[in-house]
Amino acid sequence: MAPEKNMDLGKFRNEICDFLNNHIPDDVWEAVAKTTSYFPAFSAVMTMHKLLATKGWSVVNWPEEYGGPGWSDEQRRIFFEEYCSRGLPMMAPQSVGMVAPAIMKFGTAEQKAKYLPPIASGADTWCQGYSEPNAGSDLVSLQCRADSDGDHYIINGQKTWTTWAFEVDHIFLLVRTSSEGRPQAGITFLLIDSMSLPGMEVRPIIGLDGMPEQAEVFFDNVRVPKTQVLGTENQGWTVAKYLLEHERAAGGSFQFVLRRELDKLRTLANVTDDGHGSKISSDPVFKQKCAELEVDWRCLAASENYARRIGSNHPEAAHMASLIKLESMNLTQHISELALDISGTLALVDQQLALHIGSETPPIDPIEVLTVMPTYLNQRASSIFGGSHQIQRDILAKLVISK
Amino acid sequence: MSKLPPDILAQLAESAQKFISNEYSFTHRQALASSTIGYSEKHWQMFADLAWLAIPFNEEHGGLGGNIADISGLLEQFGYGLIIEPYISTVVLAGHVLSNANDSPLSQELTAQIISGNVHISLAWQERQSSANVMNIKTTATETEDGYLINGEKISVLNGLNADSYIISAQSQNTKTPSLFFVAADTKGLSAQHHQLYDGHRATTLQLQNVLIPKQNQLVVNAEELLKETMTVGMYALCCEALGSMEKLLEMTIEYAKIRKQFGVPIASFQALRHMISDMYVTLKKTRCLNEQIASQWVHHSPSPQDIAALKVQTGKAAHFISRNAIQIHGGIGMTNELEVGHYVKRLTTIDGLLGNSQYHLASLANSL
Repeated sequence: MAPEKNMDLGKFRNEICDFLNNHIPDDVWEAVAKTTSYFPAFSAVMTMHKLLATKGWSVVNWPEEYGGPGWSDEQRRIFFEEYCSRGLPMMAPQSVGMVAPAIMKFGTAEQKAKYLPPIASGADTWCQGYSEPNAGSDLVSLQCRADSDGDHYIINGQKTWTTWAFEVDHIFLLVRTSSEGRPQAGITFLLIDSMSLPGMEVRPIIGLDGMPEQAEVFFDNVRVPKTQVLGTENQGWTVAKYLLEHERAAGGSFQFVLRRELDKLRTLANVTDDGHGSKISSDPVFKQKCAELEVDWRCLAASENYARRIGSNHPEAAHMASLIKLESMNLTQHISELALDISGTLALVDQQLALHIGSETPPIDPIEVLTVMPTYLNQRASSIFGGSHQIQRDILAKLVISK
Repeated sequence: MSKLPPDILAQLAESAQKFISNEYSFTHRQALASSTIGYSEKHWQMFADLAWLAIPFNEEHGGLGGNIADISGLLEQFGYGLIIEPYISTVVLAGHVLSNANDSPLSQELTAQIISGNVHISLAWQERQSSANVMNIKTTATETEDGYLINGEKISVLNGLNADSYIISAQSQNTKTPSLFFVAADTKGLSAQHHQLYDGHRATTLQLQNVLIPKQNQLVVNAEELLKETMTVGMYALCCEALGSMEKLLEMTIEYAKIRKQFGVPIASFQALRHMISDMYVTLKKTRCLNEQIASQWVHHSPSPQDIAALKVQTGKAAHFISRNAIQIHGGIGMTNELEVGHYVKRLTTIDGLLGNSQYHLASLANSL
């Protein structure tokens, strides 16, 4: 049933469209055109966050009591459809979709009052201090230590792959507070109010595409009050797991993002010569590959819709979270691969300078190839971050085989 | 099949291995890639001294008298060591044209200059609309009283930054067939825009506006056969380089899987990863077999268009498969610019893109069956 049959939803969609068509600043559209990663330019993310906050639309998945708009599932779907199909940057997931739900679930009244409103407004931004050099897929073996010193902890150790650590002002952290019992039992979840406490150091990591996106974060005797624990000491793994489920289930809107990517692929094919007087879009090899991706897209969209219908308390919810992570990231990668396959040699040119927002270096013609290679390189991470494909398959195997 | 005697080939292989282990640390390579000219002139002179630049040229022109199969081992070493010196553009592509051009004083002189390491010459064949079709040429050459007047645009000219001169393909307005012309880089009317590629190599877009060259600069008339053969030779050279890079990626991945521990054990003990590594090996080995079979049959005639297209398709597919799995098994660290892995991946990705990628040649193959 088309939602527009319901007059209120039709009006709702018009209001969203009107805003998105008329009130987005140029630098955000520039960032949209130059996005080469799962993570768009941070400045554009925060511009949009603050802009949406003025409408009360920055945290649409949050319950109303914490500042959500109180929309129905259908309204949220319409919003994401209109928002994502324009390629606009999603709100920073680490803040809005990870630490915030964890604070809602495990936080004290004081923590909720202190942290949630500035996340909703965009005043506070967070990064995720989980992975360490020797604790990636095996997260539970993490070694970053918080030793008790009166009413403070003293933190020593290192985090890595911390996306946007050099952009944000807060970090949530998994630390080891005990080596007794199972490794899960000695982990504590900490909320850190600054990225520049004495003893903290952030070093950006340059990716294959030449851009900094992740960072290493070092802790050398960093003092943090014990009131910064979320949940209770040594119970951080429960919080961490809850948050990871939110990370995997985030958004539920890959179908709209990837619909746009598939359409961009066609545009690229329409402007690219096949060398024999026609465009790549009429090349049978391209057409077949593209048709296969269309089938994959339909399966993904149907899977997301199913997951949304059954909700997060259904026995299959965990299956669907891993399935969607696998399938959405596979499709993301395959689209970037086909884009590279059909681009000419001009896509091989390193155009980092032209990719910066506000850059005065013009992209080389045709502009469609500008993002192809950096996107291809960057998207190699899609099957690694947020639980690698191998970890997702292990999770699924456990769920499916033990049934 | 090789033309050079086995002892010469063994010497070449040994000198290449020595060069890579003694002269080519990854840090040094990266410094060269980001330097102004993008390679080392000192290395290039070593290449000349070691006779690497002479291999495919005839003995009467000062070469070693080898053929394409004789440089395959060297190119594989170049791939293994991630060598950034522009061997393929100057020696393989431009070199092949000169070896087969009219036996004029000009082409003899240029050959001698390449062998001595004194010049770089780049073949400018590709155009905006041509994809990898070497016969799709819009650049024109009009004969005038003073010589030839050339107009058009060439893209992705390898090592154009360092080229002292270019060999340019253009439609001759008289014969309506493609010819090849020698154009010095400082010729009036020629303008160049130089780019760096993601793998660190350099490529240039050339604009030719009423470029006037003397008549003796026409190197080849009716160049269709030679252009196609040069593409074949260049594709084969790229495929050999790719073999070395894939070999190194597989080695690094196996090494890493053995030392990287998660869940208390080396990740090489996980069946899922063991199977990925097996598949990488299978992919590389069958690509190598195909490559070697094509080389061994390369005696009296070049490989058929279908054979060379199949090799380029398979090499491109293998390059992507091995690259993607190498990164996946390395995990996050494989995504960093600091580690060698990503730079091998970028070179392999570029190799697939040059002289027609797997998509292009798969379509040609499909149309030829």
